[in-house]
Amino acid sequence: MNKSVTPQKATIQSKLVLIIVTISTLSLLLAATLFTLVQLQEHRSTLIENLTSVAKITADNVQAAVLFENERDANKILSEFSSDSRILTAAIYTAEKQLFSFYDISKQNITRLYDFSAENGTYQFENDLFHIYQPISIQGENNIIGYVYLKANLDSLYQQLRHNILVITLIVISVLIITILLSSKLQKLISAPILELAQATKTIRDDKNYGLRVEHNEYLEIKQLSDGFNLMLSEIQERDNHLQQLAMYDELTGLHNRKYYIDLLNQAIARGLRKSQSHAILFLDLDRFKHINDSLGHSVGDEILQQTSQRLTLITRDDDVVARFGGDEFIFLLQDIPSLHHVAEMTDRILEELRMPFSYRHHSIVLTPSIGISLYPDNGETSEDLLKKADTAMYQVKSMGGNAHLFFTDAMNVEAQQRQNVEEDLHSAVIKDEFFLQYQPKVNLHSGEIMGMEALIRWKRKGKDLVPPNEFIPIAEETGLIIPIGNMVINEAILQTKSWVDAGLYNHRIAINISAKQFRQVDFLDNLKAQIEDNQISPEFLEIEITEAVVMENTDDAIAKMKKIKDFGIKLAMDDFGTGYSSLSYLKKFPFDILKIDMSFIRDMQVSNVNASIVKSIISLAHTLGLEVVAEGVEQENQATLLRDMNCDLIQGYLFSRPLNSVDVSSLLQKGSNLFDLMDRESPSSPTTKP
Amino acid sequence: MAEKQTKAYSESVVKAALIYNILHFIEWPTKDLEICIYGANEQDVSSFNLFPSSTKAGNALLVTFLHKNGTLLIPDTCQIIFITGEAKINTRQFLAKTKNPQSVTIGESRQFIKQGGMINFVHKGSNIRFEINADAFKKAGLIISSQVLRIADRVYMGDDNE
Repeated sequence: MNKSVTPQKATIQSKLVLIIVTISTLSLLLAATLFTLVQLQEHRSTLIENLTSVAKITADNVQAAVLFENERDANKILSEFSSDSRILTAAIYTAEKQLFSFYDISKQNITRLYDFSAENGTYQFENDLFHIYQPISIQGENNIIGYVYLKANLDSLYQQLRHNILVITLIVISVLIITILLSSKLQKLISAPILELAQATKTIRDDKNYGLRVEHNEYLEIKQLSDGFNLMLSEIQERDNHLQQLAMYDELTGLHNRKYYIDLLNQAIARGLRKSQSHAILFLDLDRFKHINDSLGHSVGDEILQQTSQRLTLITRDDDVVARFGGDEFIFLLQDIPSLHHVAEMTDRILEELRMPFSYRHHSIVLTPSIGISLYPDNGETSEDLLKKADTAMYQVKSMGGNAHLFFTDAMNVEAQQRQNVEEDLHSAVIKDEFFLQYQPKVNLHSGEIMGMEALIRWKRKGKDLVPPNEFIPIAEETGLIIPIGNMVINEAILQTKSWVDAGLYNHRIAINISAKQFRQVDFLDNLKAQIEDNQISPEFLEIEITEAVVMENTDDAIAKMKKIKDFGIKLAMDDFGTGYSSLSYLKKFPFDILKIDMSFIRDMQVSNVNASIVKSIISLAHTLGLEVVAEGVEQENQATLLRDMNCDLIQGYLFSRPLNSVDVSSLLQKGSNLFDLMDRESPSSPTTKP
Repeated sequence: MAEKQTKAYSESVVKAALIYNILHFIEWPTKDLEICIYGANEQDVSSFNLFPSSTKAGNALLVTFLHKNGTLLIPDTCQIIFITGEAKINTRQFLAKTKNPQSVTIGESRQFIKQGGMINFVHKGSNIRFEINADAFKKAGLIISSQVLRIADRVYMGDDNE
């Protein structure tokens, strides 16, 4: 639980009550005080008026008594004061200032006499006593015949005051009690909706349920607050869902993602351990998908991945899980399998389902899967191990041509290990410079002379034989080692060519293969230019061979780059034409100079006339587009003859020369070998000639 | 204190002082007042000659002695008529001759009030007190202060006259 709940912080409720009660108390006290003061003043002046008039009446009443010196009468008049508790003492003096008559409430002798220094008709306050000095006059103010003195007690005044204060205090207290009772009800008008919001916040915090909503429409501000609160909740909920989606699902296909799959796999393993269940992990990779992506673009690739996902989801049963592992890799988890037969059934269904062509706009694309399978607990007991083994099995399927499934075997691990070794050795090979170049001449079919050469990379692996390029180039591409290796090839080829040119042995182009990754390097052309300038060779001696896969992705960028290369004076050749989705029509888009027909076409030429006519039409169309045509892999004289008849320009292949070390090329150049010499001499004994 | 003082003065001085004091408690229709004394002896004359020439309110106060051997003519101007004990006259006849209906008559005989007099001096021990015929005041249309009525030794009202 949250410990930030501090011990009893002041609540809005108690504050509101406090505010209301404080304001009420202050205003009541102020009103009561003012009222009391005003009352005191009023009572005082009333008392003064009252006593003054009593004194005056007394003075009038005793006129005759004083004048006729009738003491008895005077005493009688004064004795009337016994009914007035305010009057403590009353006294009458003669005009000669002699005491004539007096009354005292406590029957005591007079302690204070008339203050004749005081102005007549005035009064004095002395503590809680009040003295009045009233002259007795007759027939006008000037005829003073005596004096009346009254001493009054102000007790009544203070008593009145005390009484008022008591009443006011009672009123204040009862009003306060009412205020407190009322305010605790009234404050709810304000605090209730706020507390409701606070409660909602707490509930949401505790339950993590962002679906909760607060409804309050009573007050504008509260409504705004709750609306804002609700809006915020909606956004949080949305974001939450989105995050959950991101965390568990693959964005493109909507399948579960790798992380979620691994979680499920771990759970399945834990369950399997408890219940002795077996699971199967199927690792699926689409064959040649990369090629589709490269040649038709990512949007096509994405569409195919989505369609694949839909198909795979359709055939997945409830207990089983299919996820996208990344790229074109999909992965299945078949839980609690009863037998291997069950797994085989599933893979068959997958193969069957993916057999139907995918359609994208005008394209109908056939893709086959390679499926590797690992089994829990037979092949491993951790998700990492199981996935790795399924992956290895999948690679095995791939290397065998794909469109199949294989269960993992320990033997596969050996192959995978070998591949791993190649990768490791490749790293050291770059550092130790274990690569070298061989050169294969191209000859003119009409003159028979050497008209060019292709530089081919070779790897002399430490302590082993030569490694064929198809075994390490893909790995170099994957690991990025192709960049240093490719630079080395360019540099070496230029250096060698320059030395032959300088020696006067050779005056033609050297063709260098550039991989897709190399070509796409932003600084590829700058790099190439720098090497050419450093070695002081004319760019006209250079030819770059790229496959169609290189230019099919980001076509516009590729074309721009090709044009720059051409402007610099370097020729461009399309390599291995016919292996991909080569269509003659799009050749027009690219500024190629040379077209190299793949050896598979040449090999099949003699198998059927159809193939031969395809080659013929390729050559004729290429010529129409102004391209020079090179036939690759020409091994037999009749192939050469046929190609010459088809007006092919150059051939390359074992018929004239296998790839040679630079030393052997030098001697070949020095000899000035000619194709026709070779054909005349060797054709009868050619082992590959058909009978 | 008051008793000692009265002893010091002669009887006629006390009577004069009483008359002077009483006249201040009567509401007079006129401002100036004339006191007429009938049957005054020497002492009376000297006592009333000491009379102030004005009231306390400052109005003129005239003292007139009437001859007892005279024609009993009583002037109209007399507002206060004091008939001394020495006059030896029939009070009723005397009063009938007074021409001013709003005059106050003062006497000092036992029968004075019964015979229609308004204020009568009586001896109470050594003191001189007075009686008031409130009914006569009422008939004369004169108002006398209640304070004087309180001090009076006896106040006659209506039936008391019989």
